[in-house]
Amino acid sequence: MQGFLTTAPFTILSLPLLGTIFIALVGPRVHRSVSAVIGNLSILGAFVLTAMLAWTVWHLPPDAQVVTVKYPPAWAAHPVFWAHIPPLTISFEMRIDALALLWMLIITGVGFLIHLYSVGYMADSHGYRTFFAYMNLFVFMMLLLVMAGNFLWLLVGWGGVGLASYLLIGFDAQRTAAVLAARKALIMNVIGDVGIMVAIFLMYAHFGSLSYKEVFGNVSAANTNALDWIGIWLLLGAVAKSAQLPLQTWLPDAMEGPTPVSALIHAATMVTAGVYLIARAHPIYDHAPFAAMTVAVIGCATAFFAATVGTVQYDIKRVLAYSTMSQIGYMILAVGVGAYAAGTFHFITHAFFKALLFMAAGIVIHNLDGEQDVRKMGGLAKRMPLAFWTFLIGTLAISGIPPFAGFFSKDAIFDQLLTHGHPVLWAFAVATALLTAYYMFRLLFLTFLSGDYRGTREPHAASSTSMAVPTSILAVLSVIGGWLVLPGHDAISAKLEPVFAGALPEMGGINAMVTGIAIAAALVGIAVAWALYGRASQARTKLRTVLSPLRALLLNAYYFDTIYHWLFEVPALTVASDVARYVEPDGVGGFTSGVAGATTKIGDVMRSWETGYLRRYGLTMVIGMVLVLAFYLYLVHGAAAVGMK
Amino acid sequence: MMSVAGVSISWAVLAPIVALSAGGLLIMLVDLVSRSASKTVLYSIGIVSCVASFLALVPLYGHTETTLAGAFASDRFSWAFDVLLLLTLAITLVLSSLRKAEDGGSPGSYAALLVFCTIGGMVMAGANNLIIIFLGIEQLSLSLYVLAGTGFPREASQEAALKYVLLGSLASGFLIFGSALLYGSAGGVGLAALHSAAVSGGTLFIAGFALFLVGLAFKLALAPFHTWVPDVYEGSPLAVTGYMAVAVKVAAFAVLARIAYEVFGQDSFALVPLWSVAILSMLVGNLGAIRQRNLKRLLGYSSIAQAGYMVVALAGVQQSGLNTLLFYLFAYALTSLGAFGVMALLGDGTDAYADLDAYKGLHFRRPWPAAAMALFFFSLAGIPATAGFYGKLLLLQQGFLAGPWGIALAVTLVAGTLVSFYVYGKVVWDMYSYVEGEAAAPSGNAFAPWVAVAAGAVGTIVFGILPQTFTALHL
Amino acid sequence: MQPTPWTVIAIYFVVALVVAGAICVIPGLFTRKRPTKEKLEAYECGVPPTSQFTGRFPIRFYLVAMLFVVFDVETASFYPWAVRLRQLGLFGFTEMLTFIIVLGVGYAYVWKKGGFSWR
Repeated sequence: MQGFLTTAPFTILSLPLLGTIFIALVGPRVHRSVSAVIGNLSILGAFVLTAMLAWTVWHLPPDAQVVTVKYPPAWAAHPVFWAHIPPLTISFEMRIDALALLWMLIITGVGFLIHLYSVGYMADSHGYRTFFAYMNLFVFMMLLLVMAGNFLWLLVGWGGVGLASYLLIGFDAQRTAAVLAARKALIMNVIGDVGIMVAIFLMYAHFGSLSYKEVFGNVSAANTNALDWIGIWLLLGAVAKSAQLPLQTWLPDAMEGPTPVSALIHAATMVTAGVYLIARAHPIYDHAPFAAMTVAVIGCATAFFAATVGTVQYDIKRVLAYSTMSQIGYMILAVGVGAYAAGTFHFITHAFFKALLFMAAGIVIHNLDGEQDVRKMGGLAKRMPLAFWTFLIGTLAISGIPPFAGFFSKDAIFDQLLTHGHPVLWAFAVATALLTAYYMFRLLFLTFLSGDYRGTREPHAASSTSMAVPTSILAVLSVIGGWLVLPGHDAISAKLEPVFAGALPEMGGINAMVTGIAIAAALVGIAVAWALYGRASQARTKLRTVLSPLRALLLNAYYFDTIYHWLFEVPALTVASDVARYVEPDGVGGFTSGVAGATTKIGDVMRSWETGYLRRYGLTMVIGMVLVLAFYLYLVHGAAAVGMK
Repeated sequence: MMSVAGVSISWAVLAPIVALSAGGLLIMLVDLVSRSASKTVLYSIGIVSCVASFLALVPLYGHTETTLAGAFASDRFSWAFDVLLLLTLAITLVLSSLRKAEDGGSPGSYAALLVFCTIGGMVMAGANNLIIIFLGIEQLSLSLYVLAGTGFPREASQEAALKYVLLGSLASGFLIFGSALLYGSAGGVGLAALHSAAVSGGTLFIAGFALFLVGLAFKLALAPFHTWVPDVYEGSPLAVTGYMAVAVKVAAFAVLARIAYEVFGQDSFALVPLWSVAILSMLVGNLGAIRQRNLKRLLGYSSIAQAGYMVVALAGVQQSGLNTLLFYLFAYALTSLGAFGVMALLGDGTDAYADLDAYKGLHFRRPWPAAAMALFFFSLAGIPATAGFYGKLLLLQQGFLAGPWGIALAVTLVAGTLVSFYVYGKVVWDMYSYVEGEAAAPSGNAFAPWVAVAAGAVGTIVFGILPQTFTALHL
Repeated sequence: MQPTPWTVIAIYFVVALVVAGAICVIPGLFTRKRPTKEKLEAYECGVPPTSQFTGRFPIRFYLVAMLFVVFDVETASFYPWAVRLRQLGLFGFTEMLTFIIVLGVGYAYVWKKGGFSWR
């Protein structure tokens, strides 16, 4: 048993990495399908092992359910192999507990389904092998992120998923938009990486260690001010990675990546890393009320902000991107107020239904040869029944209609917001729920219903099995996934309790008023969407003229990109080009070429001194000797004169 | 342990030198007896005696003992230096296998001289009194004077030997005169006696130490006693130049470190001239390298600068200084030998690739040697992820903790490094810039130099990325 | 004033200088100088000189001279050894034997390599 506990995490981690290496080295020499098979099998293997590991861990006594595994085994644990900067030694430490396990299950499980889906979706791509190599690399890095036992390894994974995300957003490197989006994502993510780095420096300064065990064990001894700062810097990382305000602008652009990438990285897993980070660092936030409050407010603001923007977008994937942003806002809000179990629960259900929505949308896009504008869709329900029904399930789930998955997790969040005493945040959250239901059904109507097909390209209905099967599986999960938490039966909190070392408030209790208001809000949203988009509506055009300034604001996502353009890009570019034009040629260039000229002059002088004549060499030495001697004698007498001797 | 006429002799301490001496004599005998002994056999004997000597060194690890009435020691000032000398000898012998009949000299005397030269170095490393130090220096130097001339069909080699021997004699003169004055001031030749003289620090001691330092600075190629370096490096046969660049520095630094720690033991104003010549060396070495068009000369100037850097390790005579010095010496040795290995590889043992023009566009003809050369140049310059970088980091740490002179040394080190980026960067740039047409120089592909290149590259990378592996050796 | 060892050396140095100088200078003061052609010629062991001293010596001469000096100087270490042979005992004997063997290898090497032949 103990053997399995130590070997399994390492195997889980190495499987995707080995997959990447294999595809990279062997892939080009064999048939392209081999890469797909290897890519899928390695993730499936990791999933199976993760499930076995979870089963094992959850059958241990509750106080033994936080497993710290140090790699490599003792013989290779000599500090020689690891960063050893006395007194800090960083070994490869993993922490396997319920929080990590839930994330690992989703990463490998949903990851596997999306890999499977990619086999069909990417079939026409030129970079088929590269795609699987990158996807496996992503899974590896993401697993490293959640399995890490100290903040340094977390940062390695954190940076690694950023890299994988960059590579995959820019996967279609022929398109300028994709490359620009990839660059934007990378830059924004690096801002976050810097935040985590600063937090790590602070942690080292205050705790002298980066290991979770030691940092969290000593939290109560540290002062609140320091913890607040650590929390804020960690939050910067979380905000960048999870596309929260104000570093959210990269996520909609990231939709330039292939749809499976959007589903896996930019919906189900990577963007939720921020949630994971804050839940993981909960002892810090528990003792840093200001930082925790900031987290909650940012999450709530993002949830509401993204939902409003989502109401007017026409690109199917962009709407989903804003909804992702909004849903992650919920999770961040939940973990910010201390409802860790609720946040984690919403992460799980969200991974199911958001991946489902992306995959269903992917089928539509795939069958329309890459069309993403919903204005050129419509009436597709009959032509693509699978996509329609699965999308409908996803939409119902995200809108919070019982008994679909999203209902339970959202309800838990609403309930706990009130339990923790945040009525204002709750009000915004409910408003967001209304907007969510509205824009998701708007999207559903525009895409699949509302009259006839408006596009020009003839949709070809053939969707491959490899796309249909995972989509269907996720559809089922999006229905039943929420049943993990039913009244009187809370599987999530029970599992998570050892992690959070304290009783978590039971989820699943039905508070009639709260639940009623949430469902009512969702229904109102759906009704409005039906009124405006369910049929060709005059009200729509009328409303559009009335609210046109607001609509422009929302269409441009509150002009964040424009503001950033004028605030950062324009000044930077101006300064850079001015420097290039005026300062560099005369100033810097003049200076450096002057220095270079002077040094080469000196070089020439030195070279002319080495004439090759022995007498010159000997003379140099003797002069040097005389100088050394003279210097010494001066020193001796000087020292005697000032009485130092 | 045996005792003769009241003097105890510890054979264990002397065993490494005895083993190597036996190897040297064997080479001569085999060369005498067998008319047809190939150079491979002779060089192999040399390498085997290296291994034997190393095996004799192993039990001395972490061991401190003096023998021959305190004249000779085995301790932290000798062990790692000895290992490095043996390593250098072995790699040089491997590189020397490219020597051809027309290079001049018999392989037997060549190999024996290399071995005897190394014995001189090991004697220096273990020497605990002035006479033994002088003995070691002379053994090392006399062998090297001849080795510099072993390419005698080339006039440059003869010139190198003559210049080296004449200037070297001058330096030896300073050294022996300084030793005499030191003896006069201390009343004994042992370093322990010198220690008490250093504490009182009379004029005679100061004058003696100054002259002694001049002699040693000549061996270390510290400016302004460096004038011989470019000509001798350029003229000597390739493998000898590589050996010279490393072994002499290792042995002379062993002496310098022993004197710094055993004679002074703390920062002393008597060491100020040492710091000044180090500063001058960093400047002269790096600035002088700028205009060189010959790689051997360039590496000669580089070795002047590197010697200056290494002195920084001793700044303030701090406890950690010896480890820093050793790390930097190992890094420098591996990097230098690797660079000479690449030169030998490409030129097939000749000086064909001593001209920097031959390196233009090298990457497009010989990507691996070009990559290796770039790695070695990066390490010499001190680019991160190479051993040279970490070494310089340690040096800076030593310098900044060592008071005003240490800070001056550290600042000069940084300035010199900046200049050296240009020097090395230019060569790397040339190697990776495409040039039309094939270069005139032929390029060889013998196996032997790959050994040196691989050893250098692995060491440079491992010590660069995992410097802890070195610290863990507790040398 | 108590004379230090250095003063003694200095006195010795001065005395040596004075004596040696006196020996050189005093005869010159008292002799009669009647130079002839033969008296002014370079002295070559009584043999009439064959040429002026301007030519260069062949390198062989230096080589042999150097080898002579090397082996000659080695023999100097035999004297102290011989004096203390009884005290040094068997060890001293084997030590000197080793020394001679090492020397012998060098000697044989030089011989075999033609260092002594006047080519």
